[in-house]
Amino acid sequence: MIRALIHNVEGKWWLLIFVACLYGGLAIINMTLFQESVTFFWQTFTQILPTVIIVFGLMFIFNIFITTNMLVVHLGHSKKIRGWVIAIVSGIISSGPIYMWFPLLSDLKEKGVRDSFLAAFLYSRSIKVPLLPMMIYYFGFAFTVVVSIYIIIFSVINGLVVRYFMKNSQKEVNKV
Amino acid sequence: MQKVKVKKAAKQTLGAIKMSFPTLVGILLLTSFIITVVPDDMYTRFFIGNNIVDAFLGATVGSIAAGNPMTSYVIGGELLGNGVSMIAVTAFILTWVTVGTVQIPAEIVMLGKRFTWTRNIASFVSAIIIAFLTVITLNLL
Repeated sequence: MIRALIHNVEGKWWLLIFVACLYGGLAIINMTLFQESVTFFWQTFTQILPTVIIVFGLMFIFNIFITTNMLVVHLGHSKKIRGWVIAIVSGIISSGPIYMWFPLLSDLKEKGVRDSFLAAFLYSRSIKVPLLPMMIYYFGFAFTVVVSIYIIIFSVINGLVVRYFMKNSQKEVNKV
Repeated sequence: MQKVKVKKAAKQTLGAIKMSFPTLVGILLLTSFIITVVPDDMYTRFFIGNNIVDAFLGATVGSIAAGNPMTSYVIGGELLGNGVSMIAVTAFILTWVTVGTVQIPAEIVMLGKRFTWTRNIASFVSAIIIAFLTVITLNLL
């Protein structure tokens, strides 16, 4: 029965279960520290809750207006400066875990989209528009602006680095 | 048509909430636990105060960790509050999203070995450079 129960628990709950066990252990060993931890958690949780609500609100708006297909179409038919811009903007507005994008990027690669654009797309994903309020909350407005600008610049640099090494590998293959 | 779009978006967002909320609460509970139990000077002992070493450590931890970027901001914010340098924290939050050690096998299968290694190494180095540039720029502002 316990085995069946463990089998049915989804991955996302494991961390909570683990932490609940830690708190249980702490309550037995040191009740004062347990109370301090719970109080600290509650204070932090209530502090960030409004920001979390804004984040999910933005996520909802993005999900209405931006579809995966839209990004694929634009990323697939671009060249030079327009290509860089589209790759970076697509990366910024794309959502979901990185591995979700691998099959689509693989498909684009097969259709001839440059490696540099794919690398730029993947790097610019570190700017998450819906999460910007949270970044501002923790690190400040100036930090958020400065780091975002550098991420955009380095998306291009990463793309160029990847292109350089991929080109060299292609040359080696051609020599053989 | 618009109604369908909104419904689909609501479903997607609800899915994201369902997926990330338990992790977010779990991480908040865990960081609260660590902050209360672990003495403050522990962080300063792990991050030794040398900007280059700390940036490298931050970037390494961020590369190994996986999950919602929201979580990295929470952890990064708490590390910052405990005296860890902005350079280390910036490198940490950047590699959290851009370097995916856990996803490397999947990336190799889909995008190729050379592409994957080049991209991940370039992202790791970029995170450290951006961390330094960001702090230098903020100091100049």
